[in-house]
Amino acid sequence: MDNNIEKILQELYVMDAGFKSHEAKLKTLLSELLQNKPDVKLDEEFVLNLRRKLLAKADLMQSQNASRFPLKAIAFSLSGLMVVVLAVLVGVYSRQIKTKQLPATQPYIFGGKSDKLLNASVNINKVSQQAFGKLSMADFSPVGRGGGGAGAGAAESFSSAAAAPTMSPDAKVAIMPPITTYSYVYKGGEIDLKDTELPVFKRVKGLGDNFDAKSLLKQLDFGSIDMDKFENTKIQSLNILQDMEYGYNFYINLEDGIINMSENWAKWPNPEKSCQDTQCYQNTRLKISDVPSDEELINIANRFLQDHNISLASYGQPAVADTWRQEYENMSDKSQAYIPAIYNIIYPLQVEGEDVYDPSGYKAGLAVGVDIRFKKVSGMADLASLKFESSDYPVITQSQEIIKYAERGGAANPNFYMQGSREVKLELGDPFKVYVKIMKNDGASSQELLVPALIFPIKNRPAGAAYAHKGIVVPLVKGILNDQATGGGPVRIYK
Amino acid sequence: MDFPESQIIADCQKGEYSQFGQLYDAYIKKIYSFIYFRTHHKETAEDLTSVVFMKALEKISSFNGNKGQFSSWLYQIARNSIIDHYRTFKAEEDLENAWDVPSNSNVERDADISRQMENVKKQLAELPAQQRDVVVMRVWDGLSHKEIAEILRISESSSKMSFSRALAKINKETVTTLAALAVILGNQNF
Repeated sequence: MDNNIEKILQELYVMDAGFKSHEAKLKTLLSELLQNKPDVKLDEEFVLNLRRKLLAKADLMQSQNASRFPLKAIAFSLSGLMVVVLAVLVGVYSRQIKTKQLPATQPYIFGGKSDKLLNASVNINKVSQQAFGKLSMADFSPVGRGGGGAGAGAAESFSSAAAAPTMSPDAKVAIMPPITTYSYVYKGGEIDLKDTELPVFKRVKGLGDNFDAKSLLKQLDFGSIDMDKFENTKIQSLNILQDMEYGYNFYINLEDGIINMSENWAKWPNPEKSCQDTQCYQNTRLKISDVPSDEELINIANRFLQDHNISLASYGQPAVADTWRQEYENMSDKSQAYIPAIYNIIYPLQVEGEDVYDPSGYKAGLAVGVDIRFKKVSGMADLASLKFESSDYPVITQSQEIIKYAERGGAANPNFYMQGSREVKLELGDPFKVYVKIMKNDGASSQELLVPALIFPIKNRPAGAAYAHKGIVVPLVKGILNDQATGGGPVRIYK
Repeated sequence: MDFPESQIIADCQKGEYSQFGQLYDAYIKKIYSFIYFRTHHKETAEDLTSVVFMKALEKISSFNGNKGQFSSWLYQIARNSIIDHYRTFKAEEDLENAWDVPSNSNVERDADISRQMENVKKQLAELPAQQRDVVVMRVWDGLSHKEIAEILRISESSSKMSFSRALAKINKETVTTLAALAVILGNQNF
């Protein structure tokens, strides 16, 4: 502060030495001006959102520019690809080059400079109608989502807090929980269904046709084995370890075009590791007061992504997965609750302006895990190539039909009713349109699809019950819900 | 500047727009502050900051480094956006009169800034518009006279001259006010 004033005064004296005789008054004056300078509190959330929007726009401008100069773009793409893959392979297979050289390639891998290996922004190629085959209820089984207690992207079954309510604190066997069944009634307004067809998106797996792993393999000389003598070899995945304190383990699935990251376990402290007795374990247990605010967790994740140049151009507002908290609130004896160490922040994927959800009504996309013991990002899941094919499918146009399916429990619920169970009626509010991510199994392989759907929010979500759904998901594509063999009955759920 | 700004700008101008993120990181706080100092309203400052960077990304191919610094170009966009904003609310008003916007006007301000701005108004409101602009840019925004000159499209020496005259005037007002205050206090026979 004083330096600024001093600098300004020196400038004034150069212009007019007469100012020097008023130095004291000028100093006071400048100090007052600086004191009255408004405090600027720049909202970190705003900064990241705007950055995301700008990069999305930049990507769009870049692709438009590339389409005007295709040869230049192809040349750049190939050279970028070769640099990355060679650098990664050399880093993995050759001990002559130290890992310190790898950061130079990070921007390429994580969507910074060229975005060529993994498309960091959504890129859609239109294909013929109903090109992904018939869709059915079987494709809508719930997928894993982060709820805390596990690394990023882990399924909620990892959450130890979920298991605790079903166990007597000092018993050795699980207690069979009572059964509650839920029924749904729509309490919203008119539903406006304008479209007769809507696109379904299929994520194009892998790294595209330009990735020639075979020729790269030929360049590797292992000495004691000639890989070239083996036919039809391919590089399926890469595993990269960051060899430092709090380092990471990157698993790059080249076939799926997905990068996952977890702790390099050998380099992270484990407070429980040296425990030999129950008291020690009790001492290392986290308390509910140790859990930071959602804002703080999101800030840690945001900073990590920004520091590592991980593009969020195609992802929406982040939110902390809170299923663990619901499970915690359900516990009658909270002293027995296991407080997870890792909390997942979900950045929902956005396609054509809509957020992507899972079949249980939770947002789905990039998951970043934060370990609250060290206030550090400990994992990341589903950083995927975002190249899609789009195919139009006929959709339901009758609102009554949609409401009927919603009141049956939508897509993710096996309609099941047990006599004598306690019945609870849940109210559904006005639906909103989303894309639901499903895995469609075709025998040995599977397709990752984004299907247009409506989510009906549950207005009176039951408190004190381990209710699994945030909203009722009704896929809009015709024929999916027609497959339901049974209808009408409420959903079984454990209390 | 610890990053190769000219190279990044050149890359953007070649069509590698994803590099723009680095320019954004370098200037977001400065531009947001520049706008906030002149609007005193968080949401308005955020909206205008978004406009500035979107415009800058769209127009970066038209930026000519021979005509001035990138920072000045960006601040010029910001200044024009603020002027447009004020014109939307009061057709006859412009940025120079932002300090005099009455509290009952359509222009929103953050509640906790009103008292602070009263103090500033006492110091700056009597200055001619250009002098006030130069003072705020030099003292609050920390811009050099070269940057101020490029933003306001005046010469560097004009910027310096405006600044020194403004300080001389404020200094004189302060002395006069203190003298008047002393007379009043003296008459109260404490």
